[in-house]
Amino acid sequence: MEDDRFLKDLREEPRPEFARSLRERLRAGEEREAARGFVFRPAFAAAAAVLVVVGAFSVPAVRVSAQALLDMFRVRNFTAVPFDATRMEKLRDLEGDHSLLLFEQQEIQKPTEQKAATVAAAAALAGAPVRTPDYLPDGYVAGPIEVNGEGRGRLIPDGAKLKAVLETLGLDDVSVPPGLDGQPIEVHLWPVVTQEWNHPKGGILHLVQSRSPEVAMRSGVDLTQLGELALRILGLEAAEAKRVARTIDWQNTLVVPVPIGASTFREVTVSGNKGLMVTVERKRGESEKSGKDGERRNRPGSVVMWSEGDQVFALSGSQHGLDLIQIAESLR
Amino acid sequence: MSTESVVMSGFWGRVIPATDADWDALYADQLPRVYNFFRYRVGPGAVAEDLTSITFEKAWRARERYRRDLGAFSTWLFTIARNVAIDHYRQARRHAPLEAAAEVPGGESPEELAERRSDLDRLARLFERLEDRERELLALKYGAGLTNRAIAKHTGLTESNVGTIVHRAIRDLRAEWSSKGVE
Repeated sequence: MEDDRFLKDLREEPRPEFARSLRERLRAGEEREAARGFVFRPAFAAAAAVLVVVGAFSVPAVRVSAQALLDMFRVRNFTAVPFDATRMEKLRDLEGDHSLLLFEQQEIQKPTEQKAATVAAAAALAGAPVRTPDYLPDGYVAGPIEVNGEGRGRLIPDGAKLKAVLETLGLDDVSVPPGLDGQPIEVHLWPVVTQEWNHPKGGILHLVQSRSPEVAMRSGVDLTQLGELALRILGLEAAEAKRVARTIDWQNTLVVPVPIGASTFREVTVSGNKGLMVTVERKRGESEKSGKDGERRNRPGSVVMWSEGDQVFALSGSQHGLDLIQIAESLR
Repeated sequence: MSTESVVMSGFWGRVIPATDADWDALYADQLPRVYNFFRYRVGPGAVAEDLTSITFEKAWRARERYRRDLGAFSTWLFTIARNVAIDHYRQARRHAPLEAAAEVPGGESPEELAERRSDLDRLARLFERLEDRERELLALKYGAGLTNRAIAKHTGLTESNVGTIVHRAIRDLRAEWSSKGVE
C-alpha cells in the first residue's frame, strides 16, 4: 500500500445536488452580467460595441476627390451618451446572427496575444513604454500583464445589411448615408497593454493603455449623418440623436454608451487632461451589505478614460471614483 | 481572430470573445478539486460546500479575462480558495467536523458507512493537530490534486520545501493513523 493512500482514498465527489445548484447560480450571474453589459470587464465593454457601430463610422467628413489622402480618426476626447440597455441586448443578439453582420471583413494583420511577467517585459513586447501607477490601495497585488500586438484590418460596410439592422430595430425613419456602401474602412490597432491588480477580498483593478486606435476611410460620407444613425441604433430618440450628433467632434471623440438608470457619468481631469468617468451604480432597492467572507457586496464600479498625447488610457475597478483618479494621476 | 473582433477587442478589451471557452467543462473539472481542497483544509460537509460556493462565485466574476488561458483561471481559482479559507478561520471557530461524516455518497452499506464515518472522523482529528501550513499544503496536494510545483507557485515556497513539508506531514500522519492498527 502506498504511503499516502490513506489520504487519497478519502477524497469525495461533491454531492450532485450541490454541484447542480451552484452551477445554476453561476449561470444566473452570467445572465445578469450580460444584461448589465458594463464595467467589471477589461476596459470598455460598451465602448467596444460603439466602436463597431459608431467608431468605424466615426471618420471625418471628407468631401474630397478620389485622390484625397486618408483622413484619420484618433481618440482625443470621450463623450458619454445615455442609452437603453435593452437596445444593447438586441444588438448583441444581432451580432450572434452572422447574417446581420454589417461588414464584409478582411484581415490584414492579426494581433497576437502574449503575457508578460513584468512591466519591462510588457514594454518590450509592445514596443513602447508602459506606464504603471505609483499608488495603489493597500492589499492589491499585481496580476498578469497581457499584451495584444498590433493589428490591422479592413471593413467594408454592407448597405443592405445595415438596412436590415435598421428594420430589425424598428428604425424605419432612418436612412443609410449615401456613399457608405462598399467603401473600405481601414482599422489600425497599436499594441494594447492590460495590467491587472487583485485584492484577496475580491477587489480588482484594470489599466488598459495604448496609442490611439486609428480608423480611416476615403470617401465623402457625411460623418455627422453617420453619427446620428449610430446614435439612433443605440436607442436615442430622433430629435436627441440629431442634436447630439451635431455637438460631437466625430474626428476625435469616442462615444461611450452609458446604460440609462444604471450609471452616471461626468467629465474629469487626470493630470491636466480631460477625461470621462462612468460609474455603475447600485440597483434601486439594493443595499450594500457584507457577505459571509466580509466582502462588501453590491459595490458600484467605475471606469476613468482619458488621453494624454497620443496615448489613451482606461482605468476600471470597484474603487470609489476619486480613488481611481488618484491612482490614474500616479502613473509613471 | 476576425477583423470585427480585432476592432472590438484590440484596444477596448476582451469584451466579445472571438471563441467561447467551455465553462461547463472547466466547472466540472475544477469543482471536485476545490471542494476537496476545502474538505481537507477546513473539514468536510456543509462548510466545505459553503466555501466552495464562495470561491466559485468570486472567481466566476473574473472568468472572461481568462477565457483564452483556462490554466491561468485554475491558478486564480485556487488563489481565491486559499484566501477564502484564511477568511473562514478568521471569522469562524474551528470545530471538529464530525457532522460531515453523515454526508457520504449513497450506495454504501451500513457497515461501510460506519467505517467511513469512523475514518473521516479520525482523519479530521489528525488533521487538526497539523500546523496550519502543513494542513494547507496537504489540502492543495490531496484535496485539489496539485503538483508540488504548482503548490510552490501558489505559496511562494520552493518546490523542494513543499516536498519536504508534505513528506514530513505524511510521515507524522501515517504514524498516527497506523498506530491505531488500521492499514
